[in-house]
Amino acid sequence: MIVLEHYIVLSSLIFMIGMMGLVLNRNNLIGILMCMELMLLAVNIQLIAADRYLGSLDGQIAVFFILAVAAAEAVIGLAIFIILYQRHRSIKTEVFSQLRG
Amino acid sequence: MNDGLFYFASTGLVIASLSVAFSTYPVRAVLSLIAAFVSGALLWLDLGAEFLALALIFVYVGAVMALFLFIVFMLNIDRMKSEGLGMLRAGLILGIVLAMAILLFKGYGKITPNTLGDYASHSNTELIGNRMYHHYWVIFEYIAFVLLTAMVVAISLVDRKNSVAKYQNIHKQVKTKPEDSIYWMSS
Repeated sequence: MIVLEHYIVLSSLIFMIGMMGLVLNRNNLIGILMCMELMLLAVNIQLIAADRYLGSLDGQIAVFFILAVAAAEAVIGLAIFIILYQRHRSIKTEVFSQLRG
Repeated sequence: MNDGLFYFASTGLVIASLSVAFSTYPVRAVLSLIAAFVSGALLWLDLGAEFLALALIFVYVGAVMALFLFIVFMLNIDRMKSEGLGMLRAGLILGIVLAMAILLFKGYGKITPNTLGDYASHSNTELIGNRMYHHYWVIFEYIAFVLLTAMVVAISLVDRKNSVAKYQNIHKQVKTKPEDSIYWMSS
């Protein structure tokens, strides 16, 4: 019998792996964006599982909106990568250091 | 809900996400992320969220991950060099801290799936549609504006004039008179 704790452990594990990947691929922007998608997937799995187990429907609506916002974010991020690549022929993170922020 | 399906899909999900986090080839990472999304969609189907599972496949795997794949192909990224041992150690410490955070959730152990009447009598898409258009329609409209803004921003960011290429100027071409380009060689 699969109980809610299985899903909590699974989604925490995926979130953790995504965060470790974020730290490991720190110098590559594509890697960072992919690990963020992975963390969003973990959150979505947890929302849907809790939704089903607690008998509500609002978590699925939240997942729908998270999917839409994540798609918009990925599109704008990739557009920024294209501009960075046109300017610097590289999308390493250190390219951003020219902003002197 | 099926035990075997849960273990199958979650094993695939964990393996695929490990491959995303630790692979050094960007194309392999993108393909592993697609595998992770497909496993996640399988889990969602098992949980009874058919609409969102199919939306994940269509929107994410079909559009966003294809976009990732195009970008990785187009930008010609070389192998991602992984950070040294120090970063691996930092990641492991982070992972251990988070694994201890998981143990906080021990109390929720024995919640079993809720079988309220709605889930049995209506289809998932019908339930989500009812809920979304009755209670959340304002947020739905906001999301439409967010997507429109994303589209406009992406197009206006990428579509700039290239200074090397030559472009037509229609207005200038139409306004050109014969006297501007033809000269009579007068004696």
